[in-house]
Amino acid sequence: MRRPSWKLSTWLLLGPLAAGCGAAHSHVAWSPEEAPPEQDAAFAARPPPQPPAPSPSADPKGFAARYPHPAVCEAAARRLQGASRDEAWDGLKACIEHTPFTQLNALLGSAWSEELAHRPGGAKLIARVVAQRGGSVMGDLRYLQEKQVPIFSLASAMDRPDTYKGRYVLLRAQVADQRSEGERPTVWLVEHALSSVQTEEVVGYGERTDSVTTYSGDLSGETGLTGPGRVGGTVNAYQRSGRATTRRFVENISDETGREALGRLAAADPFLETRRDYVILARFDGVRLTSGGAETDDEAPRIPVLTIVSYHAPQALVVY
Amino acid sequence: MKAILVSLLLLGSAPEGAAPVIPPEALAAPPVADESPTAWACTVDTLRAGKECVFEADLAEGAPSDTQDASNKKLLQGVGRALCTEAVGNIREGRPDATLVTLCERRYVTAVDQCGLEGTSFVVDAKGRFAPGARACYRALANVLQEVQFMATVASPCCECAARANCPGSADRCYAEVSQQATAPQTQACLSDRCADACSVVLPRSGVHPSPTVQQRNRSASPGSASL
Repeated sequence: MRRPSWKLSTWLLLGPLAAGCGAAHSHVAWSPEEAPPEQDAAFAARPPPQPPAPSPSADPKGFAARYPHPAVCEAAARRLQGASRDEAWDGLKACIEHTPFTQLNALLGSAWSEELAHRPGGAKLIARVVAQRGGSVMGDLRYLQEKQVPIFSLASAMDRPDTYKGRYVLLRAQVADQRSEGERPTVWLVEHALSSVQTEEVVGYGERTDSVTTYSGDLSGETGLTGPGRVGGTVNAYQRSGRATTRRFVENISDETGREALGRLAAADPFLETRRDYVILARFDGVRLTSGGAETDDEAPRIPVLTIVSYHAPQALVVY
Repeated sequence: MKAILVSLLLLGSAPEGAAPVIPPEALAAPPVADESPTAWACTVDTLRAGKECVFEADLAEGAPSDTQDASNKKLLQGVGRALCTEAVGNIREGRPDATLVTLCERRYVTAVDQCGLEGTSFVVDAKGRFAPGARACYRALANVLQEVQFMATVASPCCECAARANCPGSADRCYAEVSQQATAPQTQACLSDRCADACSVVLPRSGVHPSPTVQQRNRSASPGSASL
């Protein structure tokens, strides 16, 4: 339920550079002990090798900071599985919580499937990664379905409440209102979905030429056939031309889906703000009849009730 | 051989508790639902405030019982006077309107007829939350309060004036007709004549031409007056 402490912009700049470096020279970073002895002699003046990575259980931040890219961090955590599965899991959590980890593919791979299913924080980690990928919940849920991860959409739960009661749901939503009874507040959630819009904006310098030409004349005279006469008139010509360079932009917009839900919180939480999007992981507790709408109970609107497990602010950049 | 068979039997009959325990939050754990009511439950407070709410309570349904049915109705009748007085008082900024409160109470008692739930459960739980089956009851009570608040807004001053001016139609009829803009021609004439200011909001302005007021009649009858 905490927001990431790292700065996205720094990671976005360093991440790809470091990833390329890590991929190209991975054997240097991962198995320095395999270097031939001649090379050791030739590079005797090199700085001493780095100390081993700190234990992810003891120093998760230090562990994640050792690796230049989230994917390398995850690979390092995976290598710990042989020695200690607890250490490896803590390593994975460190990679996700202290780097802009977006590799849902790696997280849902066979290496972590057992841990994700049986450890208490598995669902929260997935929700966090979905938020770090930009919070395109509908898109990422399709991927979770393919991998048979039991986290579902609010729409599915509302369609068949009995089937999904007690199961995890993942939604992107804003808090609209809150009421409290004793220590346990309940928020009114409005589900949102991401979509994209294309716009064209002028970039650089533009040119515009306006020209106005006016011709006017007056002719008078006399002929033997028609007698005295006069002809006059004006012709105006207006021309406009322009040239501009435009660039096409695609922007992500978050819009209401029309679905709403009540979300129970364990305690009042000032960080869960209104009018702001969150990726919310929750348990589905069924649906309740509301007081508004149709007169008869059969046609009365029903609202789903959720128990919020964790929430995460989505990143602005979406990973597809 | 016997030892192997015995050990196999023992393994087969090992207690289930020996299996690794899956924490309830794990994805592989069985579904867990919290059925308890939320802070959005419908209560007398939401009824009074006219707020949106959901029907949920800590109640179990049982067999129909006449005693329970009567008890449910009696419980809600008990708060009728307070709700009606408050509904009228809030709109009129504390100024009482005894006639409208009485009208409200009569309608409220009629609406409470839907609140017995055939005695299958309590109508509200220990914390005052309306039962899931009490939606029709709640809406009936809410409609009464809403209508009365509307009458207090648009009809109260007019009907108070009508009562003082001895206009035709009982007080109850006045509230109902004025708030629906469906006054009888005779009443309308009286209201236009004697309560024009108090009833200006509710009297129709176009289409229907009310009969001239006493002052207008006097004015038009006076000799020598002319206007363009």
